[in-house]
Amino acid sequence: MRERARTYRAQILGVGSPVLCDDAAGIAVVERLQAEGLPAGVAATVGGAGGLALLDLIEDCDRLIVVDAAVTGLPPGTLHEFGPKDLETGPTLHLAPTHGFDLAVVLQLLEVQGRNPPRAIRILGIEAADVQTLSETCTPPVQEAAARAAALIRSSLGEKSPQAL
Amino acid sequence: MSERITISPITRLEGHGKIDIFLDEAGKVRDCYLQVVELRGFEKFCQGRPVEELPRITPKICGVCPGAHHMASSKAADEVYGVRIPPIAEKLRRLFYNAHIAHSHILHFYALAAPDFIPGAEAGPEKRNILGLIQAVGREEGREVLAHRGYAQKIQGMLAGHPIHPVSSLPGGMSKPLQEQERAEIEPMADSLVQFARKSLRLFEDLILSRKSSREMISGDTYYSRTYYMGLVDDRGCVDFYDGTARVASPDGSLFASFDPRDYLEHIGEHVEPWTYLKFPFLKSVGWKGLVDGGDSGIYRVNSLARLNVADGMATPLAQQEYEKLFDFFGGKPVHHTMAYHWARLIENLQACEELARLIRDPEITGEDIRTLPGKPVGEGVGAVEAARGTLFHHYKTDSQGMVQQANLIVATVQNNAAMNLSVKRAAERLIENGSPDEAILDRVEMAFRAYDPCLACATHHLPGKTPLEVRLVRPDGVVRTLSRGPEGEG
Repeated sequence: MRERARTYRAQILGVGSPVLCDDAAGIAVVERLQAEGLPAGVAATVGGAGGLALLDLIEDCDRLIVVDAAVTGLPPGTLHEFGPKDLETGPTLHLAPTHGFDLAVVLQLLEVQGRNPPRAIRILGIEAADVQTLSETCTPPVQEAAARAAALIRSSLGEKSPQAL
Repeated sequence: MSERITISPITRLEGHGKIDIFLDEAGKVRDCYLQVVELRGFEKFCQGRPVEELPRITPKICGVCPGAHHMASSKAADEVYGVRIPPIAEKLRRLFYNAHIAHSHILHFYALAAPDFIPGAEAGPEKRNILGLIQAVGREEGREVLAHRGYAQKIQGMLAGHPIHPVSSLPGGMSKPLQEQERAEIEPMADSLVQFARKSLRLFEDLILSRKSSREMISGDTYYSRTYYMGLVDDRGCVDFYDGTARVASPDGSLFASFDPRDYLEHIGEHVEPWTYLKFPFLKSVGWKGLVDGGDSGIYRVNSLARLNVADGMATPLAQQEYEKLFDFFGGKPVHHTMAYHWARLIENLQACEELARLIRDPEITGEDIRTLPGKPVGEGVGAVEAARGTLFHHYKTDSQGMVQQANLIVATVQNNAAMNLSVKRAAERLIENGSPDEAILDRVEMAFRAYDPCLACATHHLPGKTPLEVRLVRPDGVVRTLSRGPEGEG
């Protein structure tokens, strides 16, 4: 039997703090996608610091792409791509699987609530240079990486990136 | 998405909590320090901004208690402009803020505190979380927890204009009135929250307090510190989250001080230690005597139990009954047992929910008179609220145009810094006997820290208790065993 159609074919969820420099990498990607115009059937959401608040923010969608800052020691601006299984090793800043509520727990709680978790999940991490200085602006390598990430997401949705102005 | 890079190793502990436990030759605990990293540049971040921007922007520094910063900042900005907000605006702020407290307390209890008792430390880290709790108490109960957390969050979002970044409170009042349709939607949620809060207290009694091992943790002397307490009270002396007089109770329970929160600098000093960026606030008139408890030490505690200890009672009838039960159980006031913070949190949750149910029926709540337009700035203001985690002060100074020149924040977790160090050390001393603690013992040490519901460095990165925590055992010969209690809780 075919499963019913979801409300959105994809949702982009950017997590992080908007005022902690590169911690806002995920939000920068969401804002860029929104400013450029979202493809039909796609939602883009600012997810704040993540955690259980994601229960209220994750939409009924086919594909969920979470974008978050990562601190791994690689050069700032490096893009990381993860699948849900990688969550077990805590790849990004806001999706950490400590004993609290990481994304994996949130997905299980969606099921407890009788809701449908997304059918497919990818996580895009953007290597940060600074996540401790209060600032509303990401560092240049992260700004540049946010543009690349937005273009990657767009192409993964079968969309062309808008022409540069 | 083709740019794929595998990362290894993952070093995510920087910027998070660290507990250093120093052992002596015999493997007993000699010293214990809790360290956290502080955010940089808050003052500079605020300087030169119009003060009316701060209620919108300061909530964003914290992913855990944005509601508390939104309120404290709005109140400080009201004062900078010397405006009194209309009564309806205060009711709307209180409606929002009680929903915030309920949300925070429900989340902390069910997701972070309760799993330490149900299923408990022995169940292992993979079960000691909200899913393990749901497995233990049942899926239907789990759904109820999630539904009511969601109601409290939804009410906050409806009042604040945004689900996670509140914007509606501003100098002089609120930016939007409550529509009747919204009011009607909130009313049944508020009533349901009251019932859920009562049920949570019964669950605490039936599944935690009635179990011998849990009762011993709550009423024994492993988690115990004789300190001063501080919290805001209303004009009847009852717990008030939004406003009031700051009251300090002595370790013997007597009233030690009562002051206008504007005068906080006269009462609170800040001690600095070389091993941590985080300051140690203390009572100036008692003085800093080091990390020791008792009446001669200026260490005080804030957060739920502190508020109950300083108040004469709760502001609402059902919460008052529960307040009396708590103090009967311990045999009077004050209660110094750190695990009682969890119980006190549930009692406060009931008060917050009863307040929601009362305010939503207030005939004025949908009124339109919600803002006094600010005039010329007076130039200085202090806003204090009881954040879920304890008293929060915002203090701003501006120029004659209302541009911020100085901004000072004293957040709740920092005020509990000294007490958290005391509590963690005491728990480590009593629980670690041979220098080789197992996972369950370390969890018990961490419980001392979790009781304070800390939000480290008022940071954004992690929800309380979710903080990756590094525990280091340091032996006299210099051998260090590092127990990363972060991801997966591996030992």
